[in-house]
Amino acid sequence: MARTAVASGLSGFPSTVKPLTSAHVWLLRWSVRIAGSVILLAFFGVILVWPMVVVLTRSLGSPVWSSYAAQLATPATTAILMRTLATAVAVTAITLLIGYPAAYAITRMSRRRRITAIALLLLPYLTSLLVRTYVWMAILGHDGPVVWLLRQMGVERESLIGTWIGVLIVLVHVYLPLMVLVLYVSMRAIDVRQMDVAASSGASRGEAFVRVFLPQTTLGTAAGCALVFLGAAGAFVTPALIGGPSQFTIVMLIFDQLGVFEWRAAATLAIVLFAGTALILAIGGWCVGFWRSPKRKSKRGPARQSNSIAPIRTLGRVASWVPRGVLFLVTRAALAVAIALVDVPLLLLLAVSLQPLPILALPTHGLSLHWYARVISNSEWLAAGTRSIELGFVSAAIALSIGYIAAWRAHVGGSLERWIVTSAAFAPLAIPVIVFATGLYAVYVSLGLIGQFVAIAAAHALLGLPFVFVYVAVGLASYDERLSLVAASLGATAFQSFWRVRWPLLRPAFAIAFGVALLVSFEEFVVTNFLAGTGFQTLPLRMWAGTQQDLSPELAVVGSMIVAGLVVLSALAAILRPRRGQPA
Amino acid sequence: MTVAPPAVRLRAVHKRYGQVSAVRNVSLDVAKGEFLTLVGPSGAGKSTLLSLIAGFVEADAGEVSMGGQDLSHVPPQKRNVGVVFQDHLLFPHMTVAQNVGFPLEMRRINRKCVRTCVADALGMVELGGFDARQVTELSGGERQRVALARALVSAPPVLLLDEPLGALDRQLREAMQDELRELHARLGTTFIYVTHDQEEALSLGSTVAVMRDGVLPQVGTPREVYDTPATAFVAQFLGACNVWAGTTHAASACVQILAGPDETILYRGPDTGLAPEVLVAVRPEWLRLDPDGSEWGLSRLDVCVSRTQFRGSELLIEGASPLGQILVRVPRSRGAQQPAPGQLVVVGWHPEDAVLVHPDSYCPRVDRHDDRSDTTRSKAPQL
Repeated sequence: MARTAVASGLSGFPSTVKPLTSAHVWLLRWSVRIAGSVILLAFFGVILVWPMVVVLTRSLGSPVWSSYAAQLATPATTAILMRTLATAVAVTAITLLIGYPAAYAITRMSRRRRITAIALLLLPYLTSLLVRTYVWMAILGHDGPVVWLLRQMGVERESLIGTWIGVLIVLVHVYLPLMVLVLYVSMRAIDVRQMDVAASSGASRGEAFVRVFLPQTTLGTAAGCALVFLGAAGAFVTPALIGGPSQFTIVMLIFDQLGVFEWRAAATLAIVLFAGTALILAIGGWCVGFWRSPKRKSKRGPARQSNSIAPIRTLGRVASWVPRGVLFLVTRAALAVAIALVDVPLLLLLAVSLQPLPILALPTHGLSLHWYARVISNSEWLAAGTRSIELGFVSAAIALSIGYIAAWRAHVGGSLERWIVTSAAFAPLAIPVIVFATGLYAVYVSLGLIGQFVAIAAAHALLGLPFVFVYVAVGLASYDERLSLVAASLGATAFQSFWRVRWPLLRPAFAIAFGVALLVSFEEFVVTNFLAGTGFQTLPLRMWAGTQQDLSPELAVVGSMIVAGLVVLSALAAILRPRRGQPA
Repeated sequence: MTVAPPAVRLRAVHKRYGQVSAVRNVSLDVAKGEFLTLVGPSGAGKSTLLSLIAGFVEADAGEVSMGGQDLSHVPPQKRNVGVVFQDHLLFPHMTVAQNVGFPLEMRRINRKCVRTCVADALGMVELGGFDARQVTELSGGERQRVALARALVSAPPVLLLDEPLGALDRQLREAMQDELRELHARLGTTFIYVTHDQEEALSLGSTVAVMRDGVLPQVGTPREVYDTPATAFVAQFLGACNVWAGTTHAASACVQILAGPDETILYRGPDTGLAPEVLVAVRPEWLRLDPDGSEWGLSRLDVCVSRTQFRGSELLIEGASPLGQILVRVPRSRGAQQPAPGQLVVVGWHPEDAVLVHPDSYCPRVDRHDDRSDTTRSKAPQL
């Protein structure tokens, strides 16, 4: 008796434990659960569902389809729609063609080189899309390096601005990192020794690739293609700056219609765009499903190989004859092309920012800090920058809170709840941004929220949500719940076990999620453009204004300063980060 | 008498990864129909040796041949060798039947034949009717059986197994061991089985090859490698073993090895020209407790018991002797007295039973089967 008393006194366990009644636990659990669901419903209801409903209702006239009939009867509009979709398909195809061998090359590299390659592919995210597109205008523009190169090859061209090729090049630049990374992740999951097994089963290299490797990357390829396709179809900045009026897209058309408050036309076009992308994705998905369908396999007997489509198998056999060295060179070359395409504008950014002349041009004429002085002395830039940073932090905080609740509900909820939450969280990726922007604009106008800081932050949060959701969901899924049990058995209270065990393990996922959401908000232009109204200025909005006015090197200066700031910040973070094994 | 070529023959095979030699000048013959277990601690180079045989890696030097054919530079797809890995490596996007049928399909066998062969192979591993299952629906043991069926479906003359049962729990492992034994007996395929579990190696193999640091210190029947280990490492890796150093003294018509302050006789045997300093191995179960020291001809040690371990049918005693730490394993009967820690006991053995072993720096080149076709036995180490 005395011994147990001492023992319990030492370890700090209370000698009598007051048990929670099951009713208490039940009440607590349900109130937390209901609170979570209410928050999710409110957020997704106002920011996701309502805008989509509004877009749909605004597009209807009397008779219901009148607006659609009118739009689709206009040859100019259908031509623009076709061009938009064709551009998106072409961009998807090119990124896949370069990205697949490039991603393959990365999987076959040593760890060190792999990290370098991935870092190089992620480098452009240091600066915003607007800045990069702006630099591309110099690269592709009058007397720029590309025109010079073409002239050397005997092709006489004034400039690639305003051409379809120019738009394609820049869109490929924008979406290539996404494609390569998605493919890389799906390829990395394949155990290399599977190829060994295939080889000792008698498969040649090509056959092993086609029968074992390729099918396992189908889903990753499909996902990458869908993401790139949707992004390219909904892109605004690149077609607007590079393509200009001669390469009009549906998105630009919607912009113009909204600018003159042609709600019905804008909503109709948004729905048409949405339907067009959905149709093409459905066709693509059907092809992938047809190829992979496990049901079809079992129906036709066990030996039927549904993925042994004859031309592809022939391809495999042909590929086996290609010498190993050639394949190596091809994949490495693809990676080199990818990295060059992705990183070139960043390298030229500094050059553009340091030039003395008040025009955007490459090659530059001399060096000068003139434009740096101009930017620093201009309080407009500073104000816009501060506002963007504030907006980024608030929207990332919202995205992380909502994303955590969503991931938590998806993690512990039933299958229906999981399906609903996951679809809602991924919806921003599946719907072209302009469709949202249209709906949100209408909703915010009717609620009087235009130009409201928190309302804009919430809209940004929705766009960052898919990424936050993925990271947090993966973090939650990889947390072994038994660790909490262990902590409890070691005497930790619920709070202690959260703070000392669960939180430190989830923290990296949260940090990445927060950072990505911050970047999404910091970059966002299309939605902000509508919701900001007059007087609310963010950095992308100010930059856009810059491209519309005078194309001065100020933009490059701001871009360089952002890059420098981010580099300094990450260096500081690396230095100040608590060393492993030391208390924070 | 025609000499059948061995199923697998390695000649001075060498494989280096950067600075490290994973396999160092290994020579090994595996006769047709043999069940060779390759055992050694992790990092010994077992898997590399297997990869060399399968052709996944090419040797830096030496020759790999199968059935008398030099295959050193032949890619794996032309070798017809079955391979089973520990983590099964089934193709996750294919059904069970597609996985098993894969090797046949790659060899352009017609569909009807594939179907019957797949059914046969699945029946062989007792998974008949699993054809349409997805790989993800299978349990660990079932996956390993599918991998086995896939490796065997093309009737390869040689099957390589790289710790195939390592991920399974004990009961399942024992059941699978029985099945492997049966399969081997039925098919007559040459099995080369890598494991780090010495019990598995001894109980499964018709021949055991012990590997360490890229070399094979000993290859022989399970009995040979256990009863007459060639080196101190082999003695201590395959079951526990007491190994003592002693000095050689010639006696009448024999030689004795003595050690310790009391000049205990460790070993007695015919004089074959031994080095002045040698190692002697005595397995714990060759030792016996000799309470009154009456038995004739025993070498004896006074042992202070430091720890006893109850093992059901036997008792394991650890203690300190004048020669250092000693391990004794004695049979146990119900109600028998059990020495307590701290107690002094007398331990004895017949010095004729003890075995001379090489120190580990000495790694003899394994030259078995040379000019001998019909036997898998190797000679006891020549000292």
